Amino acid sequence: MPDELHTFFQEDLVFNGVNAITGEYGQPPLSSRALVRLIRGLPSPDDYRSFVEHQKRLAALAKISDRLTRISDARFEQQEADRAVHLKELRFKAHDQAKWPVKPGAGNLARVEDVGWAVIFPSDMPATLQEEIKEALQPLLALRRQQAGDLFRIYEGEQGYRSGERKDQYFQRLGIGPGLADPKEMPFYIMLVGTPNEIPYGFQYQLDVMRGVGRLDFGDDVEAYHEYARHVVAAETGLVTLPRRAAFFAPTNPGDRATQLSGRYLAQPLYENLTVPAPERELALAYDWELLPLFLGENGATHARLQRLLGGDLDQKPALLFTASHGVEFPANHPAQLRHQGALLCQDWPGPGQEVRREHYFTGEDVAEDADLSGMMVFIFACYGAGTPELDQFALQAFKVREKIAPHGFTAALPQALLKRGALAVLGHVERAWGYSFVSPIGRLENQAFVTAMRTLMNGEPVGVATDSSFNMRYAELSSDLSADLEELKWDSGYMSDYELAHRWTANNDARSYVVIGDPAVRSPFVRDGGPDEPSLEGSRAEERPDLGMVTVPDDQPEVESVEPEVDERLVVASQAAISESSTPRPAIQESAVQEPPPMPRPIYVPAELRAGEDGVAFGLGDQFDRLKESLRAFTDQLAVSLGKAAEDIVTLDVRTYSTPDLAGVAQSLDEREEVRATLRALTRVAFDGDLDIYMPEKSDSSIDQALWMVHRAMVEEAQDSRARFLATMAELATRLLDSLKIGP
Amino acid sequence: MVAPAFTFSGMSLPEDRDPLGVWELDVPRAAAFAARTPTEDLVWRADLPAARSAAREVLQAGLARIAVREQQLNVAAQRLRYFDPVPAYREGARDPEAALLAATMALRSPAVALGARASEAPALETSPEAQAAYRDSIIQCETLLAQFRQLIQKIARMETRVGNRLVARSIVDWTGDVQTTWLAELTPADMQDHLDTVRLALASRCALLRLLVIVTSGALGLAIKAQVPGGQFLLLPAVYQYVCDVLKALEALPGGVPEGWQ
Repeated sequence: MPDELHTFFQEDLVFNGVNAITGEYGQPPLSSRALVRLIRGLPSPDDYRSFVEHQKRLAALAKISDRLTRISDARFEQQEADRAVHLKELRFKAHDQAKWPVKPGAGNLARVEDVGWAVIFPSDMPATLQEEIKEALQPLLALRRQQAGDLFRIYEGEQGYRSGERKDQYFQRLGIGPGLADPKEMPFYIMLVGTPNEIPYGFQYQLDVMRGVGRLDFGDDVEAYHEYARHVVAAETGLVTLPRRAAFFAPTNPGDRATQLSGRYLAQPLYENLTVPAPERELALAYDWELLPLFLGENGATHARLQRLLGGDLDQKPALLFTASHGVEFPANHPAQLRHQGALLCQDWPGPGQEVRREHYFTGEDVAEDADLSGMMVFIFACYGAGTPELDQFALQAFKVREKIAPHGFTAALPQALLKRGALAVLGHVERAWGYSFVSPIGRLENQAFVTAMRTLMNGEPVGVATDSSFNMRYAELSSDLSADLEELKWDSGYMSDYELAHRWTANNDARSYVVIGDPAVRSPFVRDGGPDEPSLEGSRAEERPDLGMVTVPDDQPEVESVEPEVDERLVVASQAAISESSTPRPAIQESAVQEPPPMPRPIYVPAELRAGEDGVAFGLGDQFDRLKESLRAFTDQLAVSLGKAAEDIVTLDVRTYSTPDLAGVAQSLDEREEVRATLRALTRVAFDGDLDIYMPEKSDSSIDQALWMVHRAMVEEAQDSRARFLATMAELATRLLDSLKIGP
Repeated sequence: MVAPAFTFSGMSLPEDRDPLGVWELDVPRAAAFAARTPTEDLVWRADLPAARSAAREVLQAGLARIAVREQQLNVAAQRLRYFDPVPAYREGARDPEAALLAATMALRSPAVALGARASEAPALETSPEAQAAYRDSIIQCETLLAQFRQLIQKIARMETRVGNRLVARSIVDWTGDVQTTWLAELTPADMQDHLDTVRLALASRCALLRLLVIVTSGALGLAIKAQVPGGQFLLLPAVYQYVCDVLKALEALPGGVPEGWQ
């Protein structure tokens, strides 16, 4: 373990939250031993005393008199029941069906068309407000309805979320099964509309396990909903494109171990990882990205820099921004809590114990009114960066009490402001973020979830896919393992070391609490070609895409006849009329074969009235096309029949070896009713459950014919390997063909 | 004329050519198996020289080639994933991407026209040439599907001849059951030869299926990127040709694959 990291684990554990009143850590540093006692729910009297003293101190500063709330035993038991149900689903995701959260055959997870999209309102949202919000969101709802077809849903009224409901209760009420998401039952992409008070974070976490979930919360600011909807539609219809530019911002405040860790062991390795497009065993980047110089510590992680990055400054505006810092924390009910909690504490803050001034942190109010953040996506690692729950989960685990840390759950002001100014989504953390959850106890970087999330976003995938494949998977796995560990520890206290348990617990909570603020189906509208928007070189540039063997014909080779498409001008004009307006002006077309072919129009959103109908235009081609579809359908059916036969017969694998003095005269058939004029010398029958029947070849003197036996064994191995590969490829082919048949026209 | 070492019959392929570059497609022979006619099964046949070392060399070369082809198919699949109509179009030029784009462009307009509403009188016209290109594509697509359908309809048989002497035959059915008949008194070396023939044939069968998976996925992806209604079917022949062109282009590289793929 590097010496530097070693000291982090030797000394007290610190967390990424600073109290804005005291300048001290929001959660005082704890030794790993003390943390473990709290994790196990076994606080010592001293722990409790110091906890109460600390809270009283904060309460005294904020003149709060009701900070500690003790819940009844019945409510606590209800909470335990909630957790048991949730844990069951997490175990399923982690162990039984690790890869994709949707049912096989549902289609491409990244496509709303395949896996659907829905919005959930609270059932008790005032009707007038709900109608106004729906009206304001109409452009977005229309777009998603168009895309998802009959996989589009609005859950409102009786189908909306009821206060206090667990996810499984909600599902049961709606008749939706647990486990893998079936888009026909409930779409994969779910946008919650409402405050965390109306639809709690707990519900969002639970729903997010098997679905791509985001939240839109602008309170009763109806205009903000409309602006957001407008920005998403603009991004998805090609009206907004951004250069492929990413920025990384990570203060390392003086004397502050938490940000030293998050800057140098989260932000920096993440940045370095993304400069390599396709490292071994990593999700390869499909596009070249420009990474602005890393704004780390003294090198630019200041309030002023963040102002520029989030100010819509065209020279600086990144398509993706990653930040790692403290989030500012306030006592419950403090006048500034709702506006400023979760604000990003910049390099300007001099360090622990020093006053936190307003100019040291960046919050929603610091986003300029005229900032154009259209198309941006922001990933915030900071305590309370995405929001704050009403009750403290940490105190629940430690003391079985739920301390109120806010008057009610709320979404952080900064993500709200970013979305109002055009950002499409903010991925952030609810409640405390533990700085060392990306480093294992043995000093190994465990930042894979961050890497996967960023690479997925940089490949243009929806943000709901980016979180599912990274933090949701990590959460499912950690939670499943942690619950097993805690169970073992009840019986064997030496089962696991203190700081290993502390690490697992904090890593689990950390992974759970990443949420999307915004529509989970949005994806970054970065430029997909090398056109005029190609970013200029600034800072380090991502390396070339991996060599794909693009061969340039050398000059001395004979001229290869290039295939110039003949363009019929009437056809192009007609096509232009058929396709809705695009922001790209079309060049004039000449009738004769052109030297410089016109630019290919970018894929654009085709309005409903211009989509293909069931009956095509009659050029006589429609019938031929239908026959072609039938051929493909027949091919797919044939494949299905073959796979079906294979499934029936797959129970055993038979490998037989015969010999004959007259090979040419032998009729060979797998149908055992036909005579085979050869001698069966060896047989291996492998049953599906692994049972083996082996008949070995003997020579005339009853000894084993070793040579024949060796080659028979080799044939058995080859048969086993090849069967697995072949059937897998057949199944993949069947899936692709079904995908083709599913989409129109 | 030297007879090819590896021949394959019972199935046709576009241009009567094995895209893997290992097997020579054979015209249907007279029945070698009394029980079934040759057209019912796929027959993969290795004709090896009598000299032991030469026979091994031929087989090793075939196995090595198929291994490289499998890698090359991965490269082709990734190139298809990266394929972006716009820069390919602007760069123009002389590579498989340009040909694929040209085929896509040729299909796009009639396909879009076909997708318009039929309730009105056709507001769009297409030229006879565009219609012909569209029809050709449909025919080629049907042919390609019919050809590959044989791959999944028929059982695979393998034969090995060494110095014109038939030494072994194998049949592999759908579930992977294998039945092999050896000429009695064969040497272990001869047995190894047939084992390698079986390996080569099974790997080739899988690679051809894999090629079809890549072509199908590629056509679907391209149909979406380039907005060609029905392109997931219509572009199958063009994408098949593209993959073959990429495989051919990769032959020019040392080791047959780009650096980093080895």
